[in-house]
Amino acid sequence: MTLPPVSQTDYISRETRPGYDVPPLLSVRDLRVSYRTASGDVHAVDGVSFDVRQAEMVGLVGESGCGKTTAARALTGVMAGNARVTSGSILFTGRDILNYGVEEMRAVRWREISFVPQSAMNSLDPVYRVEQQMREVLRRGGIRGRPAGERTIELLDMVGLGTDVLRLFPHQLSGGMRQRVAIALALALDPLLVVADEPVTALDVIVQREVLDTLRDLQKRLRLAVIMITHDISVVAYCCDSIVVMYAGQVVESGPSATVLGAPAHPYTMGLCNAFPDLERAADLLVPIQGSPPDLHDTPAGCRFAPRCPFAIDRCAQEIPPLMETDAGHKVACWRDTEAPILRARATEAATWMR
Amino acid sequence: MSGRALLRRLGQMLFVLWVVTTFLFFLFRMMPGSPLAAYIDTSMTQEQQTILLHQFGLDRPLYEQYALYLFNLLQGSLGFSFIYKESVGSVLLTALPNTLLLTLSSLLIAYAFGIVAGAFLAARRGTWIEAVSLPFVLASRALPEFWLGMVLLAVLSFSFGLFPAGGATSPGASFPNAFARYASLDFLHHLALPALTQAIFLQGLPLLLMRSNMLEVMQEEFVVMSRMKGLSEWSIIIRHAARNALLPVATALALGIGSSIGGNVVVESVFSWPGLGRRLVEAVSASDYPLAQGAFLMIATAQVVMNCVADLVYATLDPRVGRR
Amino acid sequence: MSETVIAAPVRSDAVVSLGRQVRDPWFVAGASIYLLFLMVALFADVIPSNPPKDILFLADGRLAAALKPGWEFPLGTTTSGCDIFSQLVHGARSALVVGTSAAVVVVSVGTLVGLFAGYFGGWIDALLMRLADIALGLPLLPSVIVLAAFLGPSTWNVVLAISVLLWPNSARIIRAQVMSLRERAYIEAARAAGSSDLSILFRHIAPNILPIALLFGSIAVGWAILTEASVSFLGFSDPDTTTWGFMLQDAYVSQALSRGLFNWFVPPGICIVLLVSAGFFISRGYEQLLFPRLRD
Repeated sequence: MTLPPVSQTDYISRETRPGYDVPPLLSVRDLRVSYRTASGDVHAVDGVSFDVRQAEMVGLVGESGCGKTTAARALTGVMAGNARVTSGSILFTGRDILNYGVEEMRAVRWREISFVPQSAMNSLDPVYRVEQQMREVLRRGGIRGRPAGERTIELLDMVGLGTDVLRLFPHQLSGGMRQRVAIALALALDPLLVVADEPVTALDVIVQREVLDTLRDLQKRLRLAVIMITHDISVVAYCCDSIVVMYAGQVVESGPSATVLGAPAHPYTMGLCNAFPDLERAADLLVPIQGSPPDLHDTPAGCRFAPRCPFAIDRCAQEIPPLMETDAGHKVACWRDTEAPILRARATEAATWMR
Repeated sequence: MSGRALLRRLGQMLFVLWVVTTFLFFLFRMMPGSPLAAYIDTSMTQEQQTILLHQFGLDRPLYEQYALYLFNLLQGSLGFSFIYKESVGSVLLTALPNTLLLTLSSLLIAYAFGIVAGAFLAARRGTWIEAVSLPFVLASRALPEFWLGMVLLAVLSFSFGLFPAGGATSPGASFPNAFARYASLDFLHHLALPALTQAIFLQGLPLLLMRSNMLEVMQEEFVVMSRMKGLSEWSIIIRHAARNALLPVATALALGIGSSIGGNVVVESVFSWPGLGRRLVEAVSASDYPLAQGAFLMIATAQVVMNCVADLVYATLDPRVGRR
Repeated sequence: MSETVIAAPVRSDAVVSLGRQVRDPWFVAGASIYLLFLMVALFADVIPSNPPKDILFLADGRLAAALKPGWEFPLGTTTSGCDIFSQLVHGARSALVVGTSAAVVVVSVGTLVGLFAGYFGGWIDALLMRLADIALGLPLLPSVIVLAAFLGPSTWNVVLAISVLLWPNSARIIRAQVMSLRERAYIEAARAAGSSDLSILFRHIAPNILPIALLFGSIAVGWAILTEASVSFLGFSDPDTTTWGFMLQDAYVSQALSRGLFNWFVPPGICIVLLVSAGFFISRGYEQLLFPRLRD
């Protein structure tokens, strides 16, 4: 089965910073994924669209259950047994990978798209040593024997680990070390895109920062595209070039991090910025957003955030706002996006969020 | 396994062995008849009786007898069989290889089949194959071994004449040496039915265990990850899932060896297989106390030792155990 | 504060799931089989026309030996002229009696040992587990044979011997359960409220252990029946009682195999298989309970 060659030159020879005039590496359009359950279908991802450019770190942010992990897993093609992609497209380097067959997709996995899991404790086979697991992955890229050994050491060095971990079993490593090994594994075959699912959530704050620094550094050096899935907006603020904010299976806002975090246009984003302590700044205000996300069995008519939104108007409950571009690269799905500056000011007051 | 833990496990094993031998000592002394009846039978000559009397201190106080008993035991001297008119040790040593070969061959067949079938059934979860096979597998665990042996004997041996009706070799057959004997076609022909019977009885455990482990392991995060790594299905199932699922099965095998040596008793009786179990039954029926005691001791020792080996095997195979 | 803290026994998941199991097809199948055999055992005296051990004669005075199944003798007769069907039916009674009594003893002893060892720990635990090690180190069938020979051939001696050897399996599992329950918050609360150890043990912990003990019991019935059948087959049980194992021994010794008298030796085996399987079907957690010696 021959696959179209990946034309790396298209992507590498462009500018060193992600530019918006270059075709994106990954283009997700109107993706919909449902889970078939005993109580009906759950529409976990309901019309998600976003782009990832080469050498760009995109933060996919949202609370638990918003569909971010489901969307990301759809990229790798490895999903739960009862999950179905009902519509939409995923174009990776211009190829429609959603319609790839089993073997075609298998060839793409890890060589071009790899994955860093949330908790490496359970993601590493407990009966094989680190070295064996690294070699196993390298074998997929046709690297064996001495070259494999050298590459292994190189990879471990990249993530800041010494060769002493080679002989160890997963349970003998600390959480941070395990996560680094997971990152090393993900980078083994020089992929174009790395999907990191809450890679630092299970770690304590200091180790979090170290691992994020390593990841960010590698991403820049190797010009990797990374999708960082997290519910913690401070992580996104710390290291991502652009952000995609998801709520209840849909994208509510996306764009460069500086813009989205500095001048959020969607009330949900405004609320998120309030709700998390920042790694860099001291938190002045910690205000949670009241209420909880809607049940994804039904698809409500209007904006999904309307019930919890302090700025909702009648139109919000009746029609879903489409994702529209406001300035360069900044998209938002809100009927009141033109009033964003005013709403931002009110959002900084705690009273707005208390009902 | 750390040195200390190993020593502790071995110590535990020795403790149990000691208790069993002591218990046997007292049990057989309390058999009906005089205390001498545990070793001496009227069919023996006066001379033989005197030798035994002396060797086991049968006219000495109890604690001295006990000491002599242990001393003799460690030297492998267990008394003189009433039925066979030879030392218990030699009777048992002739019977031991038969039992071992039967046990090992049936376990091999049972586990090889069970592991493969178990993995297969795990992969066929929720299908009609599973729904139909599981009751049969469970029923196989409910089979009385000897009945299965009887049915196989009646059908395959008597009705169809495919296999011999019993014994380990044909009457009148002779062989140049022990190895030739066990490797002969005649022996294998005789071994077939008893081993098959035992295997059918035993396969349920590894099958169910392997299936259950595979089902659990397939849900594990690292199996999902290996799929994301784009590894082949073969690699995922064998190198990752099965490798992890096999650990408890390996332990079960070690335990199985121990308990099968004792469990062989009925199969050996049905097929007149000249092994330890058969000797035990003969000895108990005929009140041949020295032989009974010796046979039981040998079987019990095998089980206790294999239990210990099972623990060590598990500790070695699972890197998470005992490496700290 | 302490007056208002009342430690009420909390229902564990095990009890709730036991209720759900009643609707499980496996459970229904197993329970039906048990019920069937129970009925047969209860009405054993009434169903077949001939007493099991009676030597019967045909109308013309000949011995009713080795007859094929027919109207008068549904399963035919043995080589000594006994009604096979009658023996089978009476065998059900023995099987259930032996199985149930052995299971009751095994589970009771095992539960008590598990409760005490698991809850109190320390030297009690060490002592009881040493005893368990010894009992587990002994090969089942040979030990039962030796004990039965020593104590004399009777059904009750066989039951006793089986119990002495099988209790550790349930004890270990229950001990593990107790040890995990012991750390739960409501036990702490009970202790803080001043309940005595025994009271905690029997009022709070025991009810949560009960489902597992019962499930184990249903499997123990099976084990006991199998062991008793084996012992009878080898000739170490009471020849005056009618058990399936004894029927099989009789058949074997009377050359039923070479004579192809399948009607004699096949039915008892099938009955054993059915009854023992029923025990497995009932306990949905059969995998866990069938492999008690492996890592807890």
